[in-house]
Amino acid sequence: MNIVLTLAILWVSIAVELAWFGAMPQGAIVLPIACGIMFWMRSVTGILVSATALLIDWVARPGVLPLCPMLLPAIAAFLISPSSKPDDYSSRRQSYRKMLTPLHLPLVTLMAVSLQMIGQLNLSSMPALVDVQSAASTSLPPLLIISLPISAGIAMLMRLADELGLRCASQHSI
Amino acid sequence: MRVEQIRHRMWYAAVAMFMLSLLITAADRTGMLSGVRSALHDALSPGRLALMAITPHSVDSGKTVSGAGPVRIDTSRELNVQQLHKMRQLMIENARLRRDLKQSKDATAIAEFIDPAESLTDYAMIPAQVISSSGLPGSLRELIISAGNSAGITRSELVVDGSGAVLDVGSDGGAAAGDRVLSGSSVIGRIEKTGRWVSMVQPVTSADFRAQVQLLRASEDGLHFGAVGMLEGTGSSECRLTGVSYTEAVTVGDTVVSADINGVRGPRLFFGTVTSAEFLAGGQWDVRIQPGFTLSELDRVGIVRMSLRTDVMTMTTGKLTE
Repeated sequence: MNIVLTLAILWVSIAVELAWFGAMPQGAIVLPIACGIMFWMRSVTGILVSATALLIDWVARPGVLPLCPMLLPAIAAFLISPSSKPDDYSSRRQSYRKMLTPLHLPLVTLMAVSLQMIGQLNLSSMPALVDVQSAASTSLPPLLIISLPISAGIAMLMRLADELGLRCASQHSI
Repeated sequence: MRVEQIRHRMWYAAVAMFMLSLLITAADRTGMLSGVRSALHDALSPGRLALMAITPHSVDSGKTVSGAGPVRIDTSRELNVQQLHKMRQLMIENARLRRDLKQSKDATAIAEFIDPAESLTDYAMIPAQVISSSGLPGSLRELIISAGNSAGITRSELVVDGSGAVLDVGSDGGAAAGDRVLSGSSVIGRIEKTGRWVSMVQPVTSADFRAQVQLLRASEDGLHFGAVGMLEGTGSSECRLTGVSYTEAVTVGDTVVSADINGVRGPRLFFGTVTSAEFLAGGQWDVRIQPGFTLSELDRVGIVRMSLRTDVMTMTTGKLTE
């Protein structure tokens, strides 16, 4: 994916959330898109660009801790298989791990949303379990209702791009 | 390049981002990112403004700020807020009338005195949307709003809760010249820095915030204005009141309203309520004030704009030349 296009997508997604501040939960669009870019690009550049966008978003709308830009790159580095070729879906005998690959993106999005929620908690004192449950029950559902479908859509788009051969990254961008 | 090498680079990138995030967090805690934040929002504003322009129901479109009357509000929650503001308005108006009555009784001269500064000033509220707020519930640390230099916003203008409205009582309501009031609105803070499209607000709880305020007390005889003092932010969720003489009476529950707006006598704005008042051994009051706004309900604000009434100036000049 062209780096300029990536930056434009991230910029627009942050602008959308700012335009609908109050009506849309923070991170509902930016988080799945940033995760999607990491998985689409499968490269160091993708991780750096997405994490930097998340950090910029945190600077613009600060919470207690920027847990997403802190930890998401490590999670992505653990799950992503760097490659310049499309994922291979042709083999009928796939390993169990490979079968779960399409679920990685929604899973990482779920982690990102959870990190975002934890990052908004008051961590000056150890939060009680009741506070965490309360925060999860109030802030997670509206976030997930928007972010998970976007994440699933990006995962399907990636599969389609693989089938059409549109996801071949150049060696330089890795 | 081998896959393992790329994976190693990914881990290096992850560690670098972790360290950078820590550095940015430390810079934010020390207040070094205020300028960067304003610039970032300005950089993001073209996209935001374009999206708001194509959105059918813009957030600000429902707000009518004019001299015609209060804002029409649909939801029951906002109705309650409006009723609360109306009550504050009536309280302030009541106290004002009592004070005026007392002054008129005391006056020996029949001639009516009109404060020229008051009659020449005009107040309006410029609506803005909250773009970003930081801080924990109860203690607002920073607020960024969607109005900047391009909307004519200047530094040190007061920012109030957007649920209020500019009310023109008018001559039918018995108001005299210069009595246009901005009432019922809670003061959130003051414009600290303006960008092209956004402005940063210094909340009343900020340690650097200062404003001259006056106590408003409800008694059996009605409402009365009390001591004038200086409201100061403490950096926590509350403010303190200084400069109140030890001979003045202060009680818990007293309402705190503005004494002036940037040095000019103007409409009374609600700052908060006295939550504790202790008489210290040194002969001073230690008065604590709970601000009147709620962070979770802050989505719209208004910037109080003071201007000179050119029509009055023209008329006055004309009379003088005659």
